[in-house]
Amino acid sequence: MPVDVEGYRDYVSARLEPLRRTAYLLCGDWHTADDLVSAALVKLLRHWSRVSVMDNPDAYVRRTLLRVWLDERRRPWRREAAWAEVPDRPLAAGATEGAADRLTILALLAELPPRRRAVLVLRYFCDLSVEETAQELGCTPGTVKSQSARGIEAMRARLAPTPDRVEEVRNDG
Amino acid sequence: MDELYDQLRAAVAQAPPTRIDVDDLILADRRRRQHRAWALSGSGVAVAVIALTSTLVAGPYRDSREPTAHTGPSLCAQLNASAGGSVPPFERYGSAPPFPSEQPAAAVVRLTVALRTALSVNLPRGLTVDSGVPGCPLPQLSYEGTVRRYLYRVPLKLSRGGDHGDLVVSVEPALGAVPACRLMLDSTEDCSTDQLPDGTQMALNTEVDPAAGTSRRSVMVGRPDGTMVGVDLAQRSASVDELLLSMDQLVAIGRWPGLTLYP
Repeated sequence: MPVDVEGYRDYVSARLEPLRRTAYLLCGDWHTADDLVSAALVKLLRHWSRVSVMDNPDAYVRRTLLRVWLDERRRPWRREAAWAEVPDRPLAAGATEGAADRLTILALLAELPPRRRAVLVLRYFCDLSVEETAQELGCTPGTVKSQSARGIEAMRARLAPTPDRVEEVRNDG
Repeated sequence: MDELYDQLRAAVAQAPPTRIDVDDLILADRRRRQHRAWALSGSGVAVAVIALTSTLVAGPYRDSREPTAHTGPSLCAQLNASAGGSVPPFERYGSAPPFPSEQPAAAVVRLTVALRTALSVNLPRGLTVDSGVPGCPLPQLSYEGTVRRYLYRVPLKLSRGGDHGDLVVSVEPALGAVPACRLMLDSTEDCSTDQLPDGTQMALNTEVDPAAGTSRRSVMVGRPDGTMVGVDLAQRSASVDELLLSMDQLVAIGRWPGLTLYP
C-alpha cells in the first residue's frame, strides 16, 4: 500500500516544533529532543497510512514520543544524571533572568520522576485534560491528579523563597 | 497553575534550529522497506533454488513400478520468468530517485539473456568463456542483494591459448556519478573518465603492475537511466597488449542496451 508521503510531510511540518518542545521539556536537552522526535517520526511514518485516518493523530504521536523517551531512559547509557546544581533561589534580575528561570524550571522538572514529569508536561504544556493525559499515559485519571498534585507541590516547594532570602529581605527593610 | 503554564512555555521559547530533516527520514524509511522487500524476495528465491536443486539432484518422486528412461539432470537454471507477472515490491516516494521495481527473479532472467547476447556479439573470436560452474558453462547473473547493496553479478573465466583471465560483470543502481580517478601514486595505473552525448558517464581504468604480477582493465558505465554497469577484467602477468579484452570491448558490454535495471 503506497504511503501518502506528501500528507506525512505536511503533517510533520506543522507539528515538528511543538513535538520538539514537548520532547525538550521531557528530556531537558535539545539534541536528545531531536533524537527522540526523529525516532517518533520514523515510527509514525511506518504506520502513517493507519494513523492519518485517525480522529486524533496528535495523540498517537505524543504517545509514541512518550514511549520512545521512556524506553531511552531505561537504556544504561541514557540514564539521567541529576543536574549539578539547582539554583536555590532566583538569580538577580537582569539580562540573564530569563535564562535562569528557564534553567530553573528545567532543573526542577528533571528532578521529578519520569511519569510525574510527563504528567506535568502533558497537562500544562500540551494542554491536555486529566482524562486525555490518563489515556496517553495508560493510567487512571486519579493517578494523573495525584501525580500532578505531587509534581506541582514539589516544584512549588523548590521555587519558594528560602528562609535566608526572607531574612535578607527583612534586614534590607 | 498558570505560573507553571507560563514557565514551561518560556523555557522552550528559544528553540534552536532543528537537526531533523523530514526528507531524510522518508528516504531512510524507503530504504528500510526496500531492504525488507529484497530480503523477503531473496529468501523466496533461495527457497525456490533449494527446492529446485533438491529436485534436480534427487530426481522427482516416481513410483518404482513405473518404467522410466533416466535422463541426466541439468544443473543450469532454466531461464523462464516466473508466472504471474512481476508485482513491484518496492514503494516509490515522490521525488526520490527511482529504484528497480522488477522482481529479482525476473530481472535475473532478463539480464542474463542480455548479457549472453552482449558477450556473443562483443567478445573476440577464439576466446572461451566459462561460468566456472561445473556442468553449466553459460554465464548467468545472480542477484546478490544485501542490506547495503542491490546487485546483479556474474564472475566468468576467460581463456585463449595459454592466457587466462577473470571477468566480472555487475549491474546495480547508480547511487551517484561514476567514481573519479584517484590521485595517481605511480605509473602503473591509467585512469580516465568520459561523458558521452547521450549522458552516459564512464570511468576507464587500466592497471598493469609488473612487480605484483597483476593486470587489470575495467570500466564503470553510468547509464543515463540510472543503472551502473561494471565490467572488470583481471589477468596475471599480462602486459597491456596481452590483456584478453580491449577497453572498447569492455565499454561495448557495459553499454549493451539490455543491461539496464529500468527496462
